[in-house]
Amino acid sequence: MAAPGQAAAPASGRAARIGISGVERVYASTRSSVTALHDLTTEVPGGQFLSLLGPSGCGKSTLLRLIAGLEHPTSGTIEVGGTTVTAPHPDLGMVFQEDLLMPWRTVIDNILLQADVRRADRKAMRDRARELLAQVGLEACENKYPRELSGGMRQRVGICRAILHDPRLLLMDEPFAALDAMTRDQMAVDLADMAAQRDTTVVFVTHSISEAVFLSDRILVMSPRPGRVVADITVDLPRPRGLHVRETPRFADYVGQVTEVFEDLGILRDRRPAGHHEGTQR
Amino acid sequence: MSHSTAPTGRATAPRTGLRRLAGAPGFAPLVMLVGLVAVWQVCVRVLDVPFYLLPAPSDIWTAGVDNWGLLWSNALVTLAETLVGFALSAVVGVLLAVVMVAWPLAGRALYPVLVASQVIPKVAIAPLFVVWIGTGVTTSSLIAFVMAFFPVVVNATQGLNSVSEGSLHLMRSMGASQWQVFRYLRLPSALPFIITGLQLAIAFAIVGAIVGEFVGSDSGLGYLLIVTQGNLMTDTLFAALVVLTAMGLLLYYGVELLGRLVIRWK
Repeated sequence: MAAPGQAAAPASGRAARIGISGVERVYASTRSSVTALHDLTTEVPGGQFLSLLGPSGCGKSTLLRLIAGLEHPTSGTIEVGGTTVTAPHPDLGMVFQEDLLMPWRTVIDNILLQADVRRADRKAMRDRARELLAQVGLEACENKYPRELSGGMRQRVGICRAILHDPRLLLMDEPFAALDAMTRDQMAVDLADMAAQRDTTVVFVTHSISEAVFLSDRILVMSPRPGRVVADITVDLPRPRGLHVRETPRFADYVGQVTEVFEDLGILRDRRPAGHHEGTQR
Repeated sequence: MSHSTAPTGRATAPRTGLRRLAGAPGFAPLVMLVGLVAVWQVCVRVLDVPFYLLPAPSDIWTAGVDNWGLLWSNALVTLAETLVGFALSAVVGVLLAVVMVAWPLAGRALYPVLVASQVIPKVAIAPLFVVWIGTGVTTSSLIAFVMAFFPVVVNATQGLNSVSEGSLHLMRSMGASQWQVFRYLRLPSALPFIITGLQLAIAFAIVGAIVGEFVGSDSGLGYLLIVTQGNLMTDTLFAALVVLTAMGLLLYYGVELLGRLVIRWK
């Protein structure tokens, strides 16, 4: 599975451990204040694929930005790789909901933006960028401009850009939300493979239950007002996972488990089974 | 129905050729121009309008050919003033925008001053320039600059601020410095805006140069307009206007072409 010259499995322990303790994030304005995150404490071991799952407004994106060091907690601390986060970690890769490709840069130059900003050796990085493009099946698009690519292709380029420097921590903020369902499935499979080949910790924000179960080692289920963790589910499905894992009873079990949490919270309201419904009404 | 699509190839071929010609860019404006000139020529001749009021196009042509040396040398002066004023406005305009975006406080302090400088009619302060600097090419270039830099500042500022919060997050997640954010994100984002500002600037710069020449100068097309008007050489005046218009069109489309060369990704 692993590409030549790539670490075969996440075993060396370079992936960043994340420690979150007593984190609170309040957005205060002159009129009112909103608690986006309330008293969150957890630990993410290095190499774990963690999903933050919940409806809009549950603070999952806020938590991601806090881990990224793009925002600061109102109270509490976040550690990445043993050091407290005060600014973006030097060994961080990030993927956003929009691809955020620069329209004036070609595909390969968009990936190499990561090298330019980090003042890395462009020549060596160019080879690596080509390797990554080949892995996502875009080797022919190297010199195209972003406007010539589809949404899915553009987001693939965005992912390549995020992992060009082989980061120890990969943060993804609903990266597939803007894609159609079919592309989304394919991207999930590809992402699972890419993550498995790398020694990196992944924090993945999503509001899709099946996507979270499919991709993750562990899911933090979050609930809004105020944003907090309501369930911490370890997904023990064998890897590598193909799309067919979604048809297995164990997969359905996990999806059911998460759905139940949302039902208990009143975030999801299921209909009663059709037969039962008619029987009681007439 | 069927007779129009029937085998009348010989008859339809020239018609589609004409249609293609009519659809070509520049065809409609050209027909319009030629038509206007023809109507002008006929009206002046038929109504026997005195040439010092409105010369016929043929008279203008003759005057232009006869005075070609005069027109050419004065056009070069105006062109130089316009280009100097335009170049100054481009450099100063973009620099001011960068300062205003990099230091928002400076931006808030500067902006009202800039707007005020635009509200004052340039024709009214042009004599001041003459008092300060004297008559001549320098004054006209400076007035061209004063008129042209504002659209550059406004458009460049808007362009530099046109980056999304997400893109800024992306740059910060890579550990980009302020300078890198400017170089890799803000400046390229602003380029299309800056080009638009420059297109406005070149048009304003020509007007500025002419205003400068009106107020105090002994050369340039503006000066020529004043002199020919005073001597009732209306035909030469019109010839100067034609040269001025042609120069303006060339410069404007030159800037547009430059823009297309710089912005290849669209």
